[in-house]
Amino acid sequence: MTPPRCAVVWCADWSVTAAVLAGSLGRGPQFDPDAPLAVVHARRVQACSIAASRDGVRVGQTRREAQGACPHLVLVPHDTDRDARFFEPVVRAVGDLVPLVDVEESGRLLMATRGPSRYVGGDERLAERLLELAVGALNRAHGVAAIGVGIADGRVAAMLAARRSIAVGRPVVVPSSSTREFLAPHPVSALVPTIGADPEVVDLLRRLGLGTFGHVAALTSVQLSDRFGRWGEGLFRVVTGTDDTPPAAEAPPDDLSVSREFEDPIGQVDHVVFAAKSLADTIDASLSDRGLVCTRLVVDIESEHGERSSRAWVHADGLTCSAIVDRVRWQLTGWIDGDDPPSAGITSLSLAPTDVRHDSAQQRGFWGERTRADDTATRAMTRLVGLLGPDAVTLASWRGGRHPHDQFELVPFASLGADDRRLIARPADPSPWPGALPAPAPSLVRPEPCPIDVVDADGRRVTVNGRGLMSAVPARVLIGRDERRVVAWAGPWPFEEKWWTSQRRRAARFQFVLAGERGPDAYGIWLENGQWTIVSEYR
Amino acid sequence: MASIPSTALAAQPLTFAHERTVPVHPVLAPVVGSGLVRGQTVMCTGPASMSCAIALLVAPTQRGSWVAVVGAPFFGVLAAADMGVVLDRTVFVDDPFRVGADPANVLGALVDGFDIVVTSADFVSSLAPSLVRRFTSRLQSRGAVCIVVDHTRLVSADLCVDTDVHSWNGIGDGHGRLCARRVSIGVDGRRHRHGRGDRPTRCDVWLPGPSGRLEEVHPASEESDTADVAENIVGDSAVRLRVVS
Repeated sequence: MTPPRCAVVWCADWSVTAAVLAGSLGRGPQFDPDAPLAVVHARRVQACSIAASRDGVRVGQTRREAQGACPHLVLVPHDTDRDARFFEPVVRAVGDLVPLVDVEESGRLLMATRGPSRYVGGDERLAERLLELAVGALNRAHGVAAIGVGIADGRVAAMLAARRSIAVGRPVVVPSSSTREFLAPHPVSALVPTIGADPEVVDLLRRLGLGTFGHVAALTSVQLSDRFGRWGEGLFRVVTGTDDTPPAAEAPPDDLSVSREFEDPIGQVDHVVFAAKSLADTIDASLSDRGLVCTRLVVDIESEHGERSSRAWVHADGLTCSAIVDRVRWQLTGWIDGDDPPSAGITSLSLAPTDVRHDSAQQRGFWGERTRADDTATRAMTRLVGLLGPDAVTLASWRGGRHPHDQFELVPFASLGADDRRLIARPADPSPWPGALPAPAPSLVRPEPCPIDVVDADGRRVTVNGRGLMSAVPARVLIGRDERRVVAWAGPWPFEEKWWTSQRRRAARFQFVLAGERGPDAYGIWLENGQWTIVSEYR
Repeated sequence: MASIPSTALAAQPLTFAHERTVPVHPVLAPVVGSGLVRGQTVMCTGPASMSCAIALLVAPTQRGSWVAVVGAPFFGVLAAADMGVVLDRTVFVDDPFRVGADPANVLGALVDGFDIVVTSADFVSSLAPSLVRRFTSRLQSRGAVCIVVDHTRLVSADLCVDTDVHSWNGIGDGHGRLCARRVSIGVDGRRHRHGRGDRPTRCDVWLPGPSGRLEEVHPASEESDTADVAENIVGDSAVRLRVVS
């Protein structure tokens, strides 16, 4: 089966370009396009500017490695909404020529070339036109992006052609007959951005001596599926350029598309998004009943004056409920902020899954790691987000740190899964953090430290000098009007943090056991800038 | 075909209310019982109230139950992780008063979606008494468990887990560090029947033990336990407590 001929328009390191665009249009902090810039997400570099990559910054490095390679690196906040919004002009410009465009992610467009290519007179001509359109759309705002256009058989080959095109500076068209030869020299690491392969698996391939697509293609499909299961089968098709569309994509059942009409036109984005949430729930429920996931979704929004915005969204892993809602929001804000915003409120919203496939690859565990309790809790969390706002419902994600309140970060539930943001579990045996106090950790961490006073037997305040020596042995602690006797104490454990920035912090840590009515009470107490405070309690 | 449902019904065992439970940590089981009965309110009081509440979350989250923490911004996440609470299934919800939301709706959503709701006495005290009553009756109908940290007169707890701190080990007068705490746990409450079977009403545990977990106190080897703990500190702290300049 020959895969369909595809064209890909790829803006390299789109998040950086989007941030610069946002700055130049006054919609965000300003960034100098010639400075080394990097977008860091989940502690890894997600995208970097040309200047940064010249200094040795690479996508996938940790933040520290990147800063090591380029000390004056400017970190740009990660923002998927911004990325989607500023990609809108490119999508519109290309959409004028090719009506059916799939936005794979912000910065990458995929389209079938059969019709358009015949219309403009050949693949070469089409590729040039696409590049002109995309460059034109971005030039109007500010020319900073590196854009590539590639045409080849199948999605992955077209994507790699687009990447090659960025390097050579002109469109790359791979003839149908030489897809396999074109793919062969590409390193297996290219699987990560193209088919979303797990970097660990790619590393495994490399360690197995399979450094390029050609090496993998020299094996048989059976060998690959023996070692990697179903994923191996798919991999074989990808590297040989035979078929890389999601396996078993099928025509979706008719009754999957859902839509909603609003009697009163809606003028606020949030309200439309809220409606989208219930529609997405419906789709999600009916798809999961059939064991399907949606890989391509068409979102149609119509205003009271009959203006429409229609867009197809693709996600090879399947769009989850929250991913669908995000895409509706991106499309809507992109439309409103764009050149041709709707002139009236929104009257109708429809979501149509146009490609679905079986959920087998994504389903976890036999007895379902996803239990009924998980589903109810997820629904409740979504409802709570609706009641309390997006940042009010959080889960703990490990990040490491010196103090008990640093080691876990509370991540909003609403931001999970939207752009691959996941909870990070604490490693089973984390390396000790220098200067951290060992277990047990305090069961109660005060959000606001409580100021107290620590005095010696004569009632004089105890101090600690610069060398960490104490002026006297603490005898009593004054908490408000309470005076409590010190039963035992330990410390000081001084620390000095971030002395290279303005957030410099220097304090001495203590543990105090104070006499209480029902037994000794332990406290974590700090002395910072001459002020004693209770920061945590072992209650 | 018509006979199948009736057979299924007959085969289904009858479940009593006290059999619908969420699991309890094996160390606490001798005194608290093998499970917390769904629909009940549990109050943790005394100087180790927070650790006790965290200890009650360990077994349920490990068996797949979900926990919501509301109105307790001081919840020690690291201590919970050390104790063995599965944080993937622990959700922290902001105080509804802070964001100006209706607490009734929020509590309703919590009870509907989670097996255990942890909250603080301060938060409960800020609610209207009528709302607290509605909340507890909804707990019963939905089969969730509410754990209140510290004492409040607004709720009449079905089970009251009271703590007394016996001693803190490992810390001296200017040396050592907090290492293990011996806590005596007692159980009381209007639904707790005294003297049922041979279940004692008090027991001693390490909460936390030297590793941050909940551990049993072995009565036979009590002396050596303490010695072990003390040795532990010396070895451990010498290696790990280096001062950072």
